[in-house]
Amino acid sequence: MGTLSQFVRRAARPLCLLVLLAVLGAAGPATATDTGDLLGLSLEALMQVEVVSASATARPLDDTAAAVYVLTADDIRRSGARDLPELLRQVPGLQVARINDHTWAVSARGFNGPFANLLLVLVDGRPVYDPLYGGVYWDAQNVPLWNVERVEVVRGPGGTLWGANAVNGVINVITRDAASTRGSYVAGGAGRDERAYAAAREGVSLGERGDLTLYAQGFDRNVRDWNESRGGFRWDRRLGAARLSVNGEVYDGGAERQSYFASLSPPELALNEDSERFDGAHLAATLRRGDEHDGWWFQAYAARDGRKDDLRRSHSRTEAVEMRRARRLGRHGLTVGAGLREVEDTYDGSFTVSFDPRHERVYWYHALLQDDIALTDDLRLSLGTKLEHTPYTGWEYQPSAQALWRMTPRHAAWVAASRAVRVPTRAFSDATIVQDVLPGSPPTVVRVVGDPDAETTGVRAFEAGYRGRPVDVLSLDLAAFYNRYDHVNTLENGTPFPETDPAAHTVVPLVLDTQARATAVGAEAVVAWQAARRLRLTVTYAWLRLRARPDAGSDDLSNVRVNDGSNPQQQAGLLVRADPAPGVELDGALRAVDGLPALGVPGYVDLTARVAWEPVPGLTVSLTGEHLAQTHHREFAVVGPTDVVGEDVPRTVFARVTWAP
Amino acid sequence: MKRGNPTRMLRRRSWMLALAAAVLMLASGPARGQGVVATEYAVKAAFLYHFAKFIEWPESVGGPSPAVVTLCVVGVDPFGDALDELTARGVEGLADGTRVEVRHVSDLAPREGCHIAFISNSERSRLARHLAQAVTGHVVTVSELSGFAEAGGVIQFVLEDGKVRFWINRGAAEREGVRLSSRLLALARIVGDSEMPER
Repeated sequence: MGTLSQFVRRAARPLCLLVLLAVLGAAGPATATDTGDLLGLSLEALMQVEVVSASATARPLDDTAAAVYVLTADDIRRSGARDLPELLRQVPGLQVARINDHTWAVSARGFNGPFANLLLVLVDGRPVYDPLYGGVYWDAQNVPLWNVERVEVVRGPGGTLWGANAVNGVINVITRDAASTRGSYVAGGAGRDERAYAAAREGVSLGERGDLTLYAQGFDRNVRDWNESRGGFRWDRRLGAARLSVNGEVYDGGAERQSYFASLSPPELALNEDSERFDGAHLAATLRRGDEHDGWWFQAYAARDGRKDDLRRSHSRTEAVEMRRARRLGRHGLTVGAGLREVEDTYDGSFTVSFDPRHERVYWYHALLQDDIALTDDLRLSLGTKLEHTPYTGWEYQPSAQALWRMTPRHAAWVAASRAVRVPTRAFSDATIVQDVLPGSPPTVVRVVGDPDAETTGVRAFEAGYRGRPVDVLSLDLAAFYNRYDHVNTLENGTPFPETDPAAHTVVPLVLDTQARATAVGAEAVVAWQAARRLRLTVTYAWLRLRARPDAGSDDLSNVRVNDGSNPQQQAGLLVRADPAPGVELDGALRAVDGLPALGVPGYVDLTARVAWEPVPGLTVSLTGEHLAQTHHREFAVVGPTDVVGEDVPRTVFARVTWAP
Repeated sequence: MKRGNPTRMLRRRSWMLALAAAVLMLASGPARGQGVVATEYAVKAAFLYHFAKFIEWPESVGGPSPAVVTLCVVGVDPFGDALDELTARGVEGLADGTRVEVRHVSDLAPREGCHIAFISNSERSRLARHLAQAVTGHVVTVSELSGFAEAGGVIQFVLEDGKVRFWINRGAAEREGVRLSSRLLALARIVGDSEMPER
């Protein structure tokens, strides 16, 4: 590639954003949004303030019979995180490990890995997992965090409401309502691992026709050249008593990477420098009336995502419609719902990795029913099930029973029993991935092959928890669980067979199967203490013990062990949030994470610190240091040749300037 | 790799340009919204602060304008961080000297010393008891429970057309021995008792 084109490539993004910034800089004033500003208003003016709820789908979390953790817009800003998975490190009970600059392994309650697929990630109710393998490409689904209202994380099964893949948890990212983002926002920055960063947002009122917000974000990192640009809009308006919300986004990015390249001639298995590009877009519309107890909700969306590198080129397209209706009938709160999703994908692979068939179009449809019963004023029971028809395994049911007892307004306890499933994905049934090539005549190719008859991985989960606020300055959140998994992934030895394409060789197949069981026991605790008016401390702790064992008849040797030992047994965190002087914010996060014995990754201590200063209202300058404890450390290792290669996580420091007049 | 190709690059950047153009058009357009928008509970917290300024309490509870107005939240607190801002400002003293202290309580017994009580939605079943206790303690009760003002509560928040409004039950205020300023009454919708809660 030429030096000039390289320069143009790097300059184009910041340039476009600069134009945007210039345009926005000329735009008008913003509007008050927090209590501090509102206190200055007269009663009459207060009565003219339009209110927006954080989200119409948000439940009062104190009343949820599940292990829930919420990151507010304030938490997100003060975390200093640039990327969604980095932010998720703050959530107790999640396992977040950075594999390399733009790849993360994220899971809840175990089974972590580069292709972790037991955690469901939703952005405004829209699932963002890749249909081919069922996990999330975090570099592609990198929601601009300054545009997020809140992130709700449910640990434990969420299959009844959210469906397949919500086996061990659900992450719901809720972006900001257009009406709450009127005015301008611009941000810029750079850092030790970042050549340039720019972001902008402009929100305008369209009067009777609601509110429209446009936003864009771009960055160029210098570790592995990860770069990305992203832009989108959101339009919110009232339609009679209902609210309509339409949003869309386009993204485009790329990164240098290493990948294993297999061939029949020497070198049989080579680690090649490669570069990866990814792009995509989505358009979603939501219409809702009332709330989650009494009202209805309708959503339609279309999304497409693509990725390509030297080994493959893949594309997927999803279109879906979904609706829910909630009604209160005496002591019962009934919710019914239904949905249909069409997923189409194409995968053009290589000798190293390929899919057969290369193209597929499938349909998913579901119905759900839930009854929220107020047994007494303080005791609530929730019963429900989802019935989902999957293209690979037919009908799946995911029932749950949850009870919440509000002992006093300050103390609540809950128990839950549920079943959730992870349905085999295309990667599981149709993929072939070369693991090794042994020279010889003919050469031998060790290859992982999918099993079209793979079974659904299911979990039966039993959970209990307590949430309380014994005194005003102290809040507690405790959860414990016992999970039994059946049909857990294994690799079985297949019968060798000859193949002639592209040249004669013998294939030793390793068949992806589900001949193992696992049990997981764990507990998570969060203690938040408002030590002084300007000092808040949060201590988190999570303990997990996962044991997998192959069924009789399975000859899996490695995969089961990896499942066992690829999750830290203990994780502890301390979050400090201080406001030492007016306009100055000081934040720190200290985490200690156990090692991953099966992957040979030692435990580590990680420190993140952020200092922010607001010299004039609206202008904020901040400096964030990430991974400060060591110059670099390893968080994950990928065993065997796959298309992901693990690297050390380096120490970094970056600066941000934001202007929201 | 094929990444130096300018046509491809232009195609990739084209949405950025389109976006910039769209912003330009919007920014130069005539109608720019000046309305203030905020989250529901931030607004309600600000209302509670104003109530503290426009209510006079009897001498027995430090009136007519107590040095510190104690705002109690009964039941599950829906405000998030919104009330913290009130306290932070309140303790340092607001422009007009009204100081607000926030407490979380489970009932309105006189020992709690509440001047204003926000009764959360979690308290529907205990409403009658709270209202009875409020009368003896001269507590101004505020809630967003439907039918609250008619049931004997003093101030009820309602959402009308996306804006926060409040209803006042004057009889209830009189029973509690507090005086509401005429400015407050002028902005409220006045309602009367429809059914008295069991005493």
